[in-house]
Amino acid sequence: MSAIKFETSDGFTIQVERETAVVSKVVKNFLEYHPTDKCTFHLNCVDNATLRKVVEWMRHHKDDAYIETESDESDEERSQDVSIEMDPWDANFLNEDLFFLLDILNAANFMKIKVLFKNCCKKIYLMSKGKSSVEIKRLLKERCDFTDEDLQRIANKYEWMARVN
Amino acid sequence: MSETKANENEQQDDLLSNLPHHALVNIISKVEDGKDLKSLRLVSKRLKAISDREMVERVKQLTFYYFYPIDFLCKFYTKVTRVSIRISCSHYPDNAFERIISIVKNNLPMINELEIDGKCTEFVLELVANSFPHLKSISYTYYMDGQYCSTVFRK
Repeated sequence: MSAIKFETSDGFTIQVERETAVVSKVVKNFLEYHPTDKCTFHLNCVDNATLRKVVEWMRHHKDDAYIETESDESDEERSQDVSIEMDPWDANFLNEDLFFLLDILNAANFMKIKVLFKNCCKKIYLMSKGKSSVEIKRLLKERCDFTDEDLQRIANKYEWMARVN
Repeated sequence: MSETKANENEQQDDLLSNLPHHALVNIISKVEDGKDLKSLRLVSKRLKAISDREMVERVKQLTFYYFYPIDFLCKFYTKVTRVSIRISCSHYPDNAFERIISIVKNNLPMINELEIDGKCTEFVLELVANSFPHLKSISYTYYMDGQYCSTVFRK
């Protein structure tokens, strides 16, 4: 059985069986055009811990039919996909703190693993659901670049927009 | 392992700055509740820009009453697929329906579903059918003899 090597940003090398590695669109596309048994992918923005987690997900899903058929989606398709339903195994698998979840999301984006990417987005959304802007700022450590006057103006001016569904 | 990573990252602020734009768009597209979208808009300029765009571009189903700023709403929302018109109120002017239809026709000619709350004559149905060539369904509901009646036409 052939294997693919991944080199992480912190200098680790992980060997992954080929049928698991091709869950990543980046790997799959590369191997389609460069058929080889010896290949190392340098993942400059994925560390060892994150890659191990991502590989665990890839192993679990490597036989899923939708992994084979998924395509790059347009903005329109993305905006229509508002479902927050998730496979229970995935929901449990992604029960991680926000920092690690963001690392997994970035890795899934870099390696083009669409389902994992989408599920990370859903999980992050669920973390912020029902929270006030102050709580979301605290959760995301997002710098508020509005002045108090801006905030008041936005809150008043667009009040009606939030009510139109 | 993830706890260690959390500790390392606690020093960082602005967690979203490293996220790709389409990840943020994807996260915000999951927000169903207008109240949640409003909260996101007050977090930062970046989140406000994406949330505002999401509100405007999300596929909408609008309900119009005669006193609504219909012209403005038709121009504001870019993806409207279904329109409901409420004209059953007795104090509306006689031409209320025609005026609403005229505004919607000028701004949203591509809608594919129209619902009318009020009695429809053949003239009205013909006007609607001619105004919106992409309609897949027209339905109207009216009150008669103590009960609500509903009729649906599908292409």
